[in-house]
Amino acid sequence: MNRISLLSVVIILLGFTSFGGANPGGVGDGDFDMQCGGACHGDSSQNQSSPALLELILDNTAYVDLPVSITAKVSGIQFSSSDNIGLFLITDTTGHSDLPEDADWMVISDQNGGDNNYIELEGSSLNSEYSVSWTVKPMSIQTTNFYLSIHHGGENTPFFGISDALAITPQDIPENLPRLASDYSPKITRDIGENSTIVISTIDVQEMEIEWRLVDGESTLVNALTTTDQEWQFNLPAALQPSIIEWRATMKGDGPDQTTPWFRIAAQEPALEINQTQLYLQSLALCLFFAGLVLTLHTKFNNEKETKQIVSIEQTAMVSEAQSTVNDAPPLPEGGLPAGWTMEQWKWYGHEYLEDLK
Amino acid sequence: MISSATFHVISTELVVGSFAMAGVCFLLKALQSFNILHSEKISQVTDITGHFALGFGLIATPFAIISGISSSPGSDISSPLLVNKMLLSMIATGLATAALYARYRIGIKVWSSKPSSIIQSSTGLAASGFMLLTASVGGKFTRNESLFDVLNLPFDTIFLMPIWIIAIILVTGLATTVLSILNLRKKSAVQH
Repeated sequence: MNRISLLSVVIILLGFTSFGGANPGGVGDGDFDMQCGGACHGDSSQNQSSPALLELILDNTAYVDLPVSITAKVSGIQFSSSDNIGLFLITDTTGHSDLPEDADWMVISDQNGGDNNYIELEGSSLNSEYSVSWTVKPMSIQTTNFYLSIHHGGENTPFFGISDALAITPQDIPENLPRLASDYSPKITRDIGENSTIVISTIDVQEMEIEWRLVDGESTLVNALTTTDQEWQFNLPAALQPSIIEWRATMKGDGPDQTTPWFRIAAQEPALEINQTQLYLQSLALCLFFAGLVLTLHTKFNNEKETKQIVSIEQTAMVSEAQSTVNDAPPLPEGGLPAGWTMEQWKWYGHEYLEDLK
Repeated sequence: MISSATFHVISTELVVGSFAMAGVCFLLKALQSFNILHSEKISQVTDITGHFALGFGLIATPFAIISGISSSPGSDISSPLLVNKMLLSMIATGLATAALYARYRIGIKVWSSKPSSIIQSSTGLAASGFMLLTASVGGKFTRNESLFDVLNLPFDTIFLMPIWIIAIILVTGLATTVLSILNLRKKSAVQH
């Protein structure tokens, strides 16, 4: 009966678990290949085809060593309430060596303020279309096929989809083209409450105008100030809470005007600064303290137990001694112990008393 | 070669699995301490299994801690969650070590009296609880969700003490541990 009850409890508990292969919490942004190393969805063999319509668009002409933006448009996903959507920008469909870096492209910034090829968005049943973009930079002249891959869940099922290829062939930079320096890498994070001065290195630029905005907010135009030859700077206001500001530069010179892609800079909580030695010491102190506490309690209760045992042994010995005393004493006469005698006296002098009686 | 992140996953799975098993065993022993469960067979099995699982988890714990630190972003403790993970895992380590040492020195007699039995089973349970809490904080850090989300625990708050308090606790802990070990060793020698 007990075994049947136990088995029933186990079966009921198993019944509460989800058999879905999706990972509803997501895995966080990162550099992942198409199958996410099996981490985004528990088992890729359980994936079903996503109904999502996926499209990749190159926002401008791609030049070698200059950043360019690739926009992804997603539509047609139906959620029951809300869920995470995972989007990959990849360069191959084999499931390995498919990061942009593997095809000699560098991811400069992503939609969420990082520099990852995989990002997660909060999906909603109220939203039928999503548009995200990556800023990337080609490092060599070679045609590369880009794909947008999607992972999402729905009705406890993992869904997977992949777009058609977007072939991009970077071009050589024309002469006199106003542009960013090839080694320029924009800042992508800053601390909350920090006024940021953004410094930009350029080539063949005579004038620069900056447009910045909060994501989906109104744009603000400022003129960048030149500091040294081909170095420009402008200020971004401090953020009061975690947020992302987008900015782009319009560069003017002898060649045709150029506008950079939107660069994103994410304001984050300042990283925790902590004295690590102090932390390690505290950890060790707590470890020893709790170990000492438990062992002391064991010692205490062991001592008490032993003391009780010793007392019990001593009492037993006393009783035995008294009994043996009684046993060693001569037999009592008829009528018991003579009047006025103690047992102790009888033990030692009882023999003489009995002999006198004879 | 495998990355420290992958090694961390392997070692934490070993730690969490072992401590969870130990937790179940010590829970049964705790029930027996209060005379709720009566079975000689369960008593023997949970005693051996619980301590073995605790010991195995304890061996894997340093690997999990070290690989966890090296696989965190920047190979540094840069988040309150990581600070809490460090503190909780070390408390669990201390408790588990004490439980194992007590069982080793006192032997089966650790279960012979009610107070001693309660201390041993609660220590094992607390060690398992703290280690599972550590794992839960890990889930919170990597994917922003955890088993204990329902409890709304303040994982973002850190409890860092001034250095002089740490020194007092360290000295007290060291002294009590050494004295207790000496005491238990002496008793053990007398008994033998």
